[in-house]
Amino acid sequence: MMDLLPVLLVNGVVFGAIYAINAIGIGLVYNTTGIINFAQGEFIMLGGMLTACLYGQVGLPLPAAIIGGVALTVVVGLLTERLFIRPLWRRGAKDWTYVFMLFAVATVLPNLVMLGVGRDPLTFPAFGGLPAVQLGSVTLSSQALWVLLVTVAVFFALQGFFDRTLLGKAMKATAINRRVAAWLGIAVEQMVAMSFGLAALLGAIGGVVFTPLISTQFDAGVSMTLNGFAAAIIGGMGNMRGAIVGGLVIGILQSISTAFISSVYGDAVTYAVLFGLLVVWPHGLFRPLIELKNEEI
Amino acid sequence: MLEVRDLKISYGQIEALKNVSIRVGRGEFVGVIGANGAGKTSLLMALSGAVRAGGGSVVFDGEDMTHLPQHQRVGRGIAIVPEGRQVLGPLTVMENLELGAYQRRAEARAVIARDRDMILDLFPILRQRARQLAATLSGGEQQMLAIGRALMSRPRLLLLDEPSFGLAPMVFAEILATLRRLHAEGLACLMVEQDAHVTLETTSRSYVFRTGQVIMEGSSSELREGGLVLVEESYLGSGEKSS
Repeated sequence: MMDLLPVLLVNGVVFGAIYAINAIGIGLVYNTTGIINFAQGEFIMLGGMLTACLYGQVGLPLPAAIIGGVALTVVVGLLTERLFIRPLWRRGAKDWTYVFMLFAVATVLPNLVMLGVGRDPLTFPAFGGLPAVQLGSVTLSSQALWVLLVTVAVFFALQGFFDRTLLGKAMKATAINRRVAAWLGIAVEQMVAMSFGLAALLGAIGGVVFTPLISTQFDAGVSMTLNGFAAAIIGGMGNMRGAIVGGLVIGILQSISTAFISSVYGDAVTYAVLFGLLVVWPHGLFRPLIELKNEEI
Repeated sequence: MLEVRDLKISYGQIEALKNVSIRVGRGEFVGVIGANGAGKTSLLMALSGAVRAGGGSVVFDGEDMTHLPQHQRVGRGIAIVPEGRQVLGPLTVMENLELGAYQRRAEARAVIARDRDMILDLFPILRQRARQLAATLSGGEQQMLAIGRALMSRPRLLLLDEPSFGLAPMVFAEILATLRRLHAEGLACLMVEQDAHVTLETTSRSYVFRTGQVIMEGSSSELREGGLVLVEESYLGSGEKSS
């Protein structure tokens, strides 16, 4: 059984990468708004499903289908903010009202996809262009390599955005203290909209690179949301490095517990371990960007 | 330059400002004094756009900005140094300054860098701390950063909310000296302070607030000589002598 371990580890890392992307998306929205986006996993589902439709049913070439799928998902992300968040924001709603709204979005979106596309899992071909890599006894497929490379690229691109651009710093300022950001002339509503757009972009990219590996279907978003949420909490909410580590921890735990213990109890075992981790480190492994929410006026 | 007429602010049932009218002339240094809860901070919140006016009007340089969104007011030339300094602790001194110029992001970087250098000349200690996180600065240094950050937007009117808050008198005196210098160079300032003596010594004209209303106004020297007893009454509400 131990000769399985390397395969399981590699599998865990690949799944962990997608959870990490999701955790980063959840952290982005949390940082600017203080709320948890329970629709984040739906962006992964949408990215995969829309691309699959544009490729399989509309008949676009794969690169065009991918661009279209990602763009449409970003539009959905921006609309979510515009229709369900901003009106509440302007009326000073409580945090749980937003969370409920996002739950509603996470319920309605899969249903719309089911009505429009059906219940069948969809996929599209692997991108190719990258070689399969032999790691000792394990083969990392070309598409799995895509997943890992894209995750790393997303991480560094975002890091650069937040550390080097004025817009990124303005988003960070909004995350640290919304009142002060507004005093500096930063349009806080635009920053919130942008965080939803970015979160949807990340989700869509994740969905697009991941779908050729395992396919996707209308209800794939929920477990993505849960695992991404768990990864964000384990890593430290809103901390990108933490999101990566949290994602990997969960991916590897799931992969190993499913294989060695039981495919039925895999999730239960994973969450039991996470529970233990959080008892020891209740704030997650990394420091959140915002340690203390500044008091609102 | 700034003309506030019959401004009303309320938080739910509580009226924080009742028909307040004040004005700040071009390049003037105006003070607002009064006890805690007199409505001084509410006035600045309304001017900076952080809270909505419940009535009345705010006109700045001929433009009615009563309902102008908060972020656009910075671009129009009104910057605030908030109470308690409110620097962005997890960001560096340089990043704080850079964000102060957020509304000028269309301008050439070189122009903004020159302004930043001028501010670092004004507060040399900030230059030494440039790469440090703002949270690691002392209270006085943070106040300098908060002022520098506000100046980065090239304001024509600077709103100062309790700049003495939590600072040692020596440190505050140094900051006041810098503010006087900025004023001498033409910057209009509206300073809200609990410390009436310091305010009346620094400003040319002052308003005395009490329970959300202006109860007295005049040149600061007159208020200092003739009306200080009354000013003190406004703090205590009964004419008892304070320490």
